[in-house]
Amino acid sequence: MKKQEWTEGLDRVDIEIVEKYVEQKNKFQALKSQREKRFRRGLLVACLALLLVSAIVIRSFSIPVWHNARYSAEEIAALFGNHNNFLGAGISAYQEVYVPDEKYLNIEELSEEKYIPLYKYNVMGKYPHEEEFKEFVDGILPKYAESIYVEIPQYKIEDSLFSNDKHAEFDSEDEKNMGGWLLVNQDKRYSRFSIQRDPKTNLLLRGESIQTDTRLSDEEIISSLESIKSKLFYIFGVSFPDVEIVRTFDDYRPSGTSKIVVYFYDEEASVFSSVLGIAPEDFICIEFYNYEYNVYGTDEDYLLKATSITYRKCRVDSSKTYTHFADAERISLEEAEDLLYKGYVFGGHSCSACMQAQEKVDFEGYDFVKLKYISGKSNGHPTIQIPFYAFYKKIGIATNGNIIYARTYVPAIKVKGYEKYFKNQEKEHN
Amino acid sequence: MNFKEKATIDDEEIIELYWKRDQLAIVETDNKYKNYLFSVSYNVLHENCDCEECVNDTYLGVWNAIPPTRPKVFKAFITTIVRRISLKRYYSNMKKRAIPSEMTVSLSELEDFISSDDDVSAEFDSERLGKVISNFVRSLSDRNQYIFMSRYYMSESVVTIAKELELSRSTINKELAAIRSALKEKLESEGYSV
Repeated sequence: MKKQEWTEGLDRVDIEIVEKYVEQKNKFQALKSQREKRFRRGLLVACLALLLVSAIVIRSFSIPVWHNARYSAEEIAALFGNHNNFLGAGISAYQEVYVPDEKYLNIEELSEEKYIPLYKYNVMGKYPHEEEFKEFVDGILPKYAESIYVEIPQYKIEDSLFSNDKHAEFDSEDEKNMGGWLLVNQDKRYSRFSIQRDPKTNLLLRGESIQTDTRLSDEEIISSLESIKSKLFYIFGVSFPDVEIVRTFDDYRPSGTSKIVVYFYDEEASVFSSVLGIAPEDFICIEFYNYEYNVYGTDEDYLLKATSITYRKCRVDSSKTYTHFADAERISLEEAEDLLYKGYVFGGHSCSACMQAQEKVDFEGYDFVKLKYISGKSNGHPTIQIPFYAFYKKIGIATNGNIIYARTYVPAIKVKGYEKYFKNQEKEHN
Repeated sequence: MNFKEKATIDDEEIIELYWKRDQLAIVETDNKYKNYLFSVSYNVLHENCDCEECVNDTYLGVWNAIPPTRPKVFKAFITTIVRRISLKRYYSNMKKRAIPSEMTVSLSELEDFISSDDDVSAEFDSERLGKVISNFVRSLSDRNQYIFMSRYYMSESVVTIAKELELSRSTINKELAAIRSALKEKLESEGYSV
């Protein structure tokens, strides 16, 4: 009997036998999924228990507890990139936040903990070697080229101007053939492969256009991207189980939405993302934007094209990217409100002229409050994550129907020198 | 971050879409089964490009088949189609080069009674052989039916089968050896030269 005879005969096996096999396979997969869930749950519980015990032990011996203020108001202001000079700011200010519905403010109930952890960003990693960078690029580039039906582009590896970071320089003709450009680089911490498009063109993978519609729900967007997700996982050689949609709203587009970013990531591996509200270390993200909106709100306004796709991979141990370096005593909500009503707030626009022109907002009777970590360098300290109370006050409705909230920040920990700092600010700006 | 993906559509609903000639049927099939179909094809072909094409051809095959067919188990139905399409491509590619796929390995295990395809000019009745194989599979225990179909129909690896059944690889290999021996006897008794 020939092999082909055998395979063709086997191909004609009764369909009931195939059906029985498939049903049995589904049962095995369901069992496997339950086993994995139980295992993961068990592992998570064990890890949390271990973390809790470690936290208690470590807290007893190595993490300092701050009962008094350690930072000054000036240092806190510097977190927002402000400087105490004529062009700087830090005096009462707020940002306008636009949302179609309050649920997009992601307000969570305040916790009751007396102490709140502070985190420090760890500068880690070594400058990449050419071989490692080449391996990263060559692992992705052929599959990307194949997916847009072009020859594999040639590139040179260059060092960045001011550091030993590496990036790939592509031939301009090749970039033209790709209908956009690639930003591929590697620094001490990350490897990045970013596909950038001219906003007026469509980003296509294997002929499939990547776009979305602001009118779709998050579930609908995710469902519509299943095929693209598979293609991207194939191109980058990764697989992420979780997905998050981040929408940015404005006050003038008829659709109300200026940008949608879809993140594919692994929630279990993103230890600090949910705590600090930052992007996960490893992800694939698709950015959708609309540069050609129509003020009359035609269909085109609601359609967002993908302007970039980025794969970011952490080169260092992502569990060590932040260090819990202290526990600071938290001020109560009442104490924070006291500071708020005195105008001892942070986080505004950094231009003094704009701030003077900014319409004053009375936060009395504010609508929402939540805890939020803000990061930044502060007077030579390494990048730190400090918790703030973020207060929201509804101040109007935009022409496109989005609700306008004023948002301002009060540190959630004790800070010294408020009065002196804000008096100095007044002198600078009056 | 607390977002979870939505639940998938039922197979019955997908079949209904095919009957209504609604092209959403293909979108939903793709959403639900693309990875599965790809893996079935990959076990045969071991080549991403070819697998993608086979999966796309499968959608067309399913579209053309439903209606008039109304499959009882949709996943089994599309499995047979993608496998058939992948096999055609397999034999087409084999003429150009050897294919390092699980399919090739599983076929090599059967070399005791099947030979290479140097000359396939002679006609053969695959329908009859299909019936013989079906009767043989039904004669096996449920567990061995599953092992046989996984290994020789789906070209799954021994490691995968062992993990699913929570058995050792050596146990699976023993069972496969016994199955092959019984299969050879069956084929000989049905008049096939092995």
